[in-house]
Amino acid sequence: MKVISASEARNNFSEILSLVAFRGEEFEIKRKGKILAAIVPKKNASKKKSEIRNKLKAIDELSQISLKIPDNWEEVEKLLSDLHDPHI
Amino acid sequence: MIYIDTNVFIYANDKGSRFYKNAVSLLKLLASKDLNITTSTEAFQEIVHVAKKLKQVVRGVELCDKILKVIPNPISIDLVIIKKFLKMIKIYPFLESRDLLHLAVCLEKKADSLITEDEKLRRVKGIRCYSIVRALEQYGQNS
Repeated sequence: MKVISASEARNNFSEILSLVAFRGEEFEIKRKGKILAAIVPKKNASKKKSEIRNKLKAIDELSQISLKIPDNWEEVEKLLSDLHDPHI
Repeated sequence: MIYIDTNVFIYANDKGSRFYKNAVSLLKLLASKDLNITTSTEAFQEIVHVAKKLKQVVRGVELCDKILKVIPNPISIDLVIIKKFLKMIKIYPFLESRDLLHLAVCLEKKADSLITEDEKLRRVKGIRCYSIVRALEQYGQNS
């Protein structure tokens, strides 16, 4: 996805719209160093929404697995401690 | 690219953890904003290793399967990353080798940030490291 500034987007909007609509290109719009928006073909936007929904569903499922781990990370660290130990 | 350390995934599925709610909220926030989140193959083997130690292999594998739905293309540890990792051992002697591997991935792939609850990793310079709470603030407000 090509990144363009807000002023580039404003000055070339018609051309950008054609590239998006007819060539399937995607643009991210940056202002003050941060990407604030994107212009993507409509079909890609729908696909993206569906991908995000699926990811959120997977996170919900992930959060229900309940791998029971020790209370603090130090104990998990102990479990991991032999992970890269060549003597084990 | 936002790199997620293993501990975030592990906390996000352990309801008894004090980080549970925030870890789940963070993953949802990043996914809902369609931010480019990733992890590496190292995270999967760590999760399976912990699960095996806890005799919960089935759950560990299930967790890995779900992570793959959130991050379908985790970064593989390739030769370039291994070389970076080996160089970094001398630079960061206070880090465990598995942490160094995560760090080598982040630096080699030029990650924007690394989210981890590992305080030692957060002491490393050259990459923005956020705790789960700090990442919630950062990506909740500014992205």
